[in-house]
Order: sequence, then structure tokens, then C-alpha cells
Amino acid sequence: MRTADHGVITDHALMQALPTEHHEQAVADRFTVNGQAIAGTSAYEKRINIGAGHKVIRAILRGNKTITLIGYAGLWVVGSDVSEACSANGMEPYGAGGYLSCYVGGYSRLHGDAYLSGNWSVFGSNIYLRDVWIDGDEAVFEFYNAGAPASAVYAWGSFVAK
Amino acid sequence: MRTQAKRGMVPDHAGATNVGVDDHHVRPSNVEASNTTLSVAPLPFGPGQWDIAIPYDAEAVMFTLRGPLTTHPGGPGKVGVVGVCSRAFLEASTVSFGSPTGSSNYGAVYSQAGGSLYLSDKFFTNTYGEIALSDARIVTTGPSTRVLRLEFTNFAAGYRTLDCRAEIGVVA
Repeated sequence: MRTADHGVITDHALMQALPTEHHEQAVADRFTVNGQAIAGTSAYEKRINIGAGHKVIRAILRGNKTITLIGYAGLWVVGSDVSEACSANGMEPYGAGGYLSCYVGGYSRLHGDAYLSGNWSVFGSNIYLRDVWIDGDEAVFEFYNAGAPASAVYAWGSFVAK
Repeated sequence: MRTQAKRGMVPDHAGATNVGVDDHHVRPSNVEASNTTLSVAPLPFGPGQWDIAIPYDAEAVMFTLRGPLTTHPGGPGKVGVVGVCSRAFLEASTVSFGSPTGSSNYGAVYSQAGGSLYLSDKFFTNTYGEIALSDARIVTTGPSTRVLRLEFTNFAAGYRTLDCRAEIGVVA
């Protein structure tokens, strides 16, 4: 319900929440994974303690593949405490060496996508972001090494959980 | 890591006195703003600074900035940036959409935590290649005031005037 006061919601019933459920403060922080090794065809879960009660997390993650001199491949992703309610809008390098241009694409685990980033090794060689969700008091970012050899994850960014 | 426990929150209605059920909710307001007058000095001077007032209780903001240029010729949309920054850290991250040049629709991600020097492509004037977003952070400006401080770097040879429309989602 939008009002003249820019959509302030003041009614518990409207929010379909218990009186105390939506009083949680937001948390926010930077996100860094710098060279975490993953064995071949294995997953790595970056877990971040965000405190209890959060329903949704939004993050912008940058990989290590350059698109231009100052831009990088990466994505904008939303995860929640509901299984598979997750989506992303990704930037992937395209062309020789991945330096020429990029794709802009959307992904949704909810609608059956196996990964949230494409096959251009956005977060390291053969490394995909596979899923994001809230597990109790932790936000979980799951990276997956789709190749046989061991590889390393590189991801930087910011997130907000509410 | 900031947690709610550090913020002195009242976790339930019974714990708050002299308030009605709806009185003590966090009530963030979203903000819209535009700036088509800021004159930005060229390098090595600058950057240009634009402060947008946000609620004092804003914990973080998700901002969308739109430039004046149409994405590559024939495209229906305008260039722009989606970003996030927070009081808990001073390193913003953004996704930059669209480019008015070339044969593709450019997009890129920037993260100051990963060392990015800029946060957008150079598209915040009517000519491509001039002004880029270079910083975004939440700044406390008084005992009850905060702003989203946006900084823009001008890569042109002379002064340029910013053209930027902002929508700011406040997360409290």
C-alpha cells in the first residue's frame, strides 16, 4: 500500500506478520572471498552470520573477469529464507578472453536454473554461483566448481539483509 | 558485522511504553531526487559531490541512478546503475547497465571491496565518456541527519554538468 508518505507500512495484518516479526533491523556488510580453493565438481559455502530473523538478502557480487578496464563480470542476487526463492541478474564476459563485451542475463533457481551465473567462469575458472539462501542466522552463498581440477573462488561485493 | 542487538531496538510491543501498536515501527521512507545542475570539475580536480538527504535511521540504501543517454542506438532504455551501500561499511558495490556506444548492451559490476576505482560507466552527461559515479556512501551530517553522498568523476577536458536521476530505497 503506497501512501503520500512514500509507502510507509504501519499495519501488522497488511504485512502478514506477527507483531514482532518485522521489527528486525537490517544488517549489511562487505563480501569477500579471495582465492578460496574448491576441489573439482565440489561446492563451497560462504556462510555469513547475520543474526536471526532475517527474511531476505540482497547482494551485488563481483567476480575476477574483466569486461573493460574498470568493469567486471558479476551479478545482482536476491535470496531468502524460503527454499529456492532466489534470483539473479548476471553480467558475463563474452568473447576471446572475456574482455570484449558481456551478456546481461537473468537466472532463477525457483524456475529451475541449475546456477545463478553462466558458463564464463565469472567467479574463477569453472566457478559458478549456484545458490544463495538464509539458513537460520546465516546467509549462505554457494559456489560450485564445475570442472574436474581444483579451482579457486574470487568474489567481492556488498549485501543487505532484512 | 552490525547486529540488531547493538541498535537498542525494542523487540516487542510490550517492551515499549506509551506507544500504540503501530507507533514504534521502523518507518523508512524512500527518496527520489534529481540533479541536472551540479558542475563537475575535470581531472585532476573534483570529484563532484551530491548529497541526498535520507532518514536518520537508514541502515543501508539500495539506490538506482539513471543517466540521460539512451542505451546503444535504438534501445528503448536509459543507462543507469543499481547499487548498495551501508553505514556498516564504506565500500559500495554496483551493477552498471547499458552503454550508448558499440553494438552490444554493456553491463558490468563494480565493488570497492574488490578494489574498483569507479562504480559506473561514464554516462552521466549527454555525451558518453565524461562523468562516472566514483563513490557512494552514507554520511552522518548532524545529530539527526544523514545523507547518501554520491561522488562523480569527470573525465572530460573541461567542466561538465551532471545529469542524474535517483531513486533510493532505504533499508532501516
